[in-house]
Amino acid sequence: MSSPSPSWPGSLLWVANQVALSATPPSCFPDLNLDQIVDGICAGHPEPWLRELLYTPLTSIAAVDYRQRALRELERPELRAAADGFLAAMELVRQRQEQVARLRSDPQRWIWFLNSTTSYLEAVESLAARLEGLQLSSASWLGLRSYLRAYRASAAYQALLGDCALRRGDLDSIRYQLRIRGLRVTVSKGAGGEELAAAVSATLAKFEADSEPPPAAAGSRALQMNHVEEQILDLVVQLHPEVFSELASYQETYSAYLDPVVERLSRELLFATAYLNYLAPLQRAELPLCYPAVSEASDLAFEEAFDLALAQQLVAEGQPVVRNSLQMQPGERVLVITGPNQGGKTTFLRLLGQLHYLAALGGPVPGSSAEVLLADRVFTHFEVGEQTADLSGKLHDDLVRLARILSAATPRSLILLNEVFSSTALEDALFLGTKVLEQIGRIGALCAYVTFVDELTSLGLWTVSLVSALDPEQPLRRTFKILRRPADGRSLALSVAERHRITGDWILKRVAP
Amino acid sequence: MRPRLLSPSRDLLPKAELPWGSEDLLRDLELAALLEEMAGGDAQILASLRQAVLSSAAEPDLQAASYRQAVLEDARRCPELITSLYDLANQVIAAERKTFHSVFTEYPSARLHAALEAMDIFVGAFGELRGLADRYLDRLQSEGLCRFLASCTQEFSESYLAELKALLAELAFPAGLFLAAELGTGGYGRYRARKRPRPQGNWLQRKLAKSPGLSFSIDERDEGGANALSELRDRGIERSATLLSHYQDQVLAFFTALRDESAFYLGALRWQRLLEESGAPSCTPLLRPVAERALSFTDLRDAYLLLRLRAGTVPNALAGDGALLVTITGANQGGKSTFLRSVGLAQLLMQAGLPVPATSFSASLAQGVFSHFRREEDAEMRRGKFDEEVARFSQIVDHLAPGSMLLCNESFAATNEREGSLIALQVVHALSERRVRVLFVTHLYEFARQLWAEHDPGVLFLRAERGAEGQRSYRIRPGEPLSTSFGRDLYERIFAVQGTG
Repeated sequence: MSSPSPSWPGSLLWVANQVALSATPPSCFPDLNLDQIVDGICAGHPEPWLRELLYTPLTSIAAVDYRQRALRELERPELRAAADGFLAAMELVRQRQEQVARLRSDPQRWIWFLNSTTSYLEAVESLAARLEGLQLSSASWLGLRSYLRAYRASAAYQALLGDCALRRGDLDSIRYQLRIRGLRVTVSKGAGGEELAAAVSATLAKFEADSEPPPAAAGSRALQMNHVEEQILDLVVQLHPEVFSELASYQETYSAYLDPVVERLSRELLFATAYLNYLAPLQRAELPLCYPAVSEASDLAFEEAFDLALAQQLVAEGQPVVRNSLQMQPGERVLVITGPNQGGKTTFLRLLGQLHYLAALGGPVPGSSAEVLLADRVFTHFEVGEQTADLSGKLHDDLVRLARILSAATPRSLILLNEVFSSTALEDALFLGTKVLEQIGRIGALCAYVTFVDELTSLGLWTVSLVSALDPEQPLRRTFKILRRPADGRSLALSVAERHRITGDWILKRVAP
Repeated sequence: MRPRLLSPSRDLLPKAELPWGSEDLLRDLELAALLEEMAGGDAQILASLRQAVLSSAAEPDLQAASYRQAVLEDARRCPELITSLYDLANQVIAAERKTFHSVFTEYPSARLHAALEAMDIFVGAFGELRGLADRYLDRLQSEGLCRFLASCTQEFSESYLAELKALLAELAFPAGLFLAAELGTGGYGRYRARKRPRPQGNWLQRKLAKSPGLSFSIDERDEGGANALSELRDRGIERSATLLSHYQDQVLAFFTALRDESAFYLGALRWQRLLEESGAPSCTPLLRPVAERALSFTDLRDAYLLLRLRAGTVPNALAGDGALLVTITGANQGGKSTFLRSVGLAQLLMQAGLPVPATSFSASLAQGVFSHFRREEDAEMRRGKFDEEVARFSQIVDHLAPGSMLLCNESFAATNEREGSLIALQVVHALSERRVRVLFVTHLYEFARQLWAEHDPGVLFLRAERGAEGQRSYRIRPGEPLSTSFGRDLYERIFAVQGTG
């Protein structure tokens, strides 16, 4: 196939050659609930390459930018509809190819092969037509459009298109009738008399009241014909010999019809739409999502961000999602988070980790705006919570793990540490925490550190102190704000009324005039 | 086609979920107990009354309510017509249930068979309905019954029933099955059953016109082949079977509606009789549109207590047209809750088109009736209880609209008086602004006092009356809220009896 746009890499997702995909998830996945997010995105899509794409973050700003532009453009409803239509048709192609491979009788194989090419052509034609009708702006989609122009103009494609229509027309025009009397079946040409179902409707329609008749069954049925159906089809072939001999030679001529770029496109679009579909419930719940600005050395800043996995659960339960904002100043590298338990500290760490990881996948992230580092690695070390008898053994293991992290971390790494020394004595926790944070400060990595040791919040200008504010009204709620200063209280009863939204102002808002 | 005895435009759907808030009304107003008395032990009548009363409360329909008032007049004149309709519907439903209900009903042939049996029963019942129409039509005046019986005469004519029987006979395929076919997606035939072709011309023309066709027969020992063939037959008749089953359901729904709707009137007739036996006055309420905010009555009694205590109940009167808020204060056990309940029940009965126990009752329909009653049994920690009642109130707010009626009994009492009053004031001011009518029984003196000081003509103040010696009359009269708690005399009385003063 000739490529009219030599700069187009033949892909919507990769600006240069695609790197090798990772078969296993990064180690930070369970701590950050990224495994849940990936499970959510892959729900209903068993194909392993989809997971592998999600396990493989991008490593250059240019690559992120290329993918972000492609996805951002895909979010336009017209383009999205085109992609969904294309994917549905390509799924049919796949199923029908499987069907051809499975079938035993010739006439059936010919028919299913024709069907698979019909779906393929519909997929390509409809996508191309829709792309032609749109003002496109990103390099990826513009490149795809010119590629499809050249592909569809090629002689081979044109021949397939023409022959497919001829064969289809022949087959669709076949009409026959059947009489079943006892065990005898008669097949003949012709159309037959008045339809019985119509007579039933005409006589009984007056009783129609609360529902329309159910639509005619879509014909879900066994994939294999039984021998009676095959005998009938054989008789139909005998009644129409010329139609079926043309069909047989069609399959021979076009056996390798699938274009590799089109096939790859279907995978890439599946990745993109699965990702966007996963976010759709959040969008409906009016939670903000944005394409982050990624850079190699920026100060972290985000508005109204939230834990994506937790938000999915809360939205499904109809619960509100608490959002957090943060603006780091130049020179600040380490966030030290203290405050009561159940205050959303772990959730805040997950939010940070997800924000960075998802930004490197090139997709939208939670939040109304975000500027993040394109992290080379995301390191996590979360306290598991279980009490172990061998405290010194555990501390030893913790320190070994931390040492590994610190030796691998670079100024472009993100390190998330959650209550690492919580089971040690306060003195140890202070000492070890100070040491670890000072080392991280020297490396210059971005870090968030959850601790119960207040002294760690003021080690230097490079640390930022954050506090999880616990809502006194609802101590069981799972997500809360992480703030630089505590919230102030109010009258208990009024705050209950306020929380249940029955104050005068709320009622005026809630009851439409 | 539907009976439409309860509304010219809508069906009563007894299986539909009850509207939001129904549980509270059933419990707070003793509506559940009242409906049981009205139904006299017939579960069907109970279900119909409950559905009609609660759905009319949620969706006021002035036209439907007066339509029912008229049908009820006819029903009083010809109670045996209502009984006949109810019995016929019940018989049809019972007979339909006994027809062929196979575990194989996923097979079109089995479905078709079952539907044919049921249809035979229906055809007979159509004839009986026409007979009832012939007998009663000229004795009736209400739009509801006249229109229904006239449609029976017209729709179930002799010629229609003959046409229907002929169709049912054809669906038994006495001459084999004829199918028209085209090739479906994978070469599978798409089959649709056809009527038996009618022969045309003389025998020679018919013979020549016959297309030759190719045939095969399935061997008698080929069980798989026979199964495949019957599956193919099933596909051919599937659409006809589906449609016939569908219409079977529709006709059954017609008879179910007839049963449910006639059950409502049997309940209404019984309620009428109970009212007459009680000796207290009753009336057909005057229905007024939502926007008028009318609420006036004389000699209104609590419908439920009336059945329990007969005429011993205390009647009350109110001239509350235009009022957006009615507060009721005063002595404990002075009849405040009973008063609130009596108004709520009368409002619900009126919206359903039923008579009420009053000499006169003239009120606007409410766009939803809701109750927010103090729940004694939810006693947890004080804090939790207040939270619970506020949460419950908040759910009600979700369903309020201009024209709604809200009955509050000791709302916001689970906190201290200052805070409770503050919240109650905010709530009633906002609800008045949204034209939600509120009847509020309260002990929150601070709340009532501030309202009194506002001199708003849209607010009425009622008080449980107390005689000079502290005895209660259970009458509720207009009056300024009094600060003295009447709990004191209740206390004195109880403790005096026990001799522990």
